[in-house]
Amino acid sequence: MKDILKGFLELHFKKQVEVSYYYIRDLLLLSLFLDYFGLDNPLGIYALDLYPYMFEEFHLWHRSLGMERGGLDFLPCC
Amino acid sequence: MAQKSGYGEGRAGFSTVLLRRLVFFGGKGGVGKSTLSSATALRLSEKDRTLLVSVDPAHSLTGIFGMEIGPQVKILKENLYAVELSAEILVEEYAQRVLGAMGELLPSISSGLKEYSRHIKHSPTALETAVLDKLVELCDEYAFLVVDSAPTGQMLRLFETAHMVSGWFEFLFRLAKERQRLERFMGREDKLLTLIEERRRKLKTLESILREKAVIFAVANEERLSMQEMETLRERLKNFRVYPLLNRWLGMEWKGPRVGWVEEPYGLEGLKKLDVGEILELL
Repeated sequence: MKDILKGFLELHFKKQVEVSYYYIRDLLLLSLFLDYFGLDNPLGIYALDLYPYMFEEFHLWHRSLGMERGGLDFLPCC
Repeated sequence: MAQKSGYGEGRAGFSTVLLRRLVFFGGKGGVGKSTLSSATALRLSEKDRTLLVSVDPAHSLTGIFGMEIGPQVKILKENLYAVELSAEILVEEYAQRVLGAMGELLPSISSGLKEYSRHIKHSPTALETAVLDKLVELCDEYAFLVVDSAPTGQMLRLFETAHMVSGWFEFLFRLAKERQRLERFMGREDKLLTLIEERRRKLKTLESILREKAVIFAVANEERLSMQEMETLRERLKNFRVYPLLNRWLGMEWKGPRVGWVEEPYGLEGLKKLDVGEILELL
């Protein structure tokens, strides 16, 4: 029963959830990588230890923005 | 002093039970902020454990006490400690701490992050956030913290940075939380939220300390320009407890707290000559 319910939910809502997920992800990455766009990052150095966690996502993200290479020296993801 | 644990090590929260007052002295350059902070800290140390912190990049405590102080907390006499914070060293320390842990986890990017930390050391926001971060940690261990601030402009920036970064983390936290909700639906896990939450809590602590325990003295002399800066400080920090204070008072009509003129009030003995009684009454 649980599986059927799960299947139903996924069938009907997966797409919408995915879309809003990408929307949120983009906003979050933009906020953490403000300097990437030449804007001042108010976090200063206090985002330093967040970056490794965002490493893989950053790669997917710049690809999805249409940029082949990340272009950040400190995050050699490509 | 023992190395304090920082971010990423799961510090649950900061106890600030011990802290009674966080006292700032601000105002135009040369009005006597450092001398007043020193004299006040000296008197407060008779009551309880006191730390005198200089956050002015051009430190002058060493000259006032006639002994080398520097970036490590140093004991001057019973219950009286002093430190001259160097933002650059703080940034360096923080980066080392983070990178040390990260290097083991992800060796492939640690050299890149090292490069990054070399550059970020000179970012103005980094310097302010580093100082604020250290202040919160120091609040843990003393009953009185007396802060000798940089001149007006920089001091205002310090307070504004605290507010801005806190607001920014609030926003990031909301985003990360929403993201986690969505990830959970898709059966994935997210570590980011815990990390952001930790920082947010630390900044909240800082904001509440500043709101509840901070007393700011806007120092001026009997001179027009320094009086003007005193007014600016008072206006811009009107959400905090700010008292205008007249130093080197010679007899001008003045209702607020004042400290009289004293010649060469330097060294542990010399500082006792300064009558800071009216300051202590307000703490």
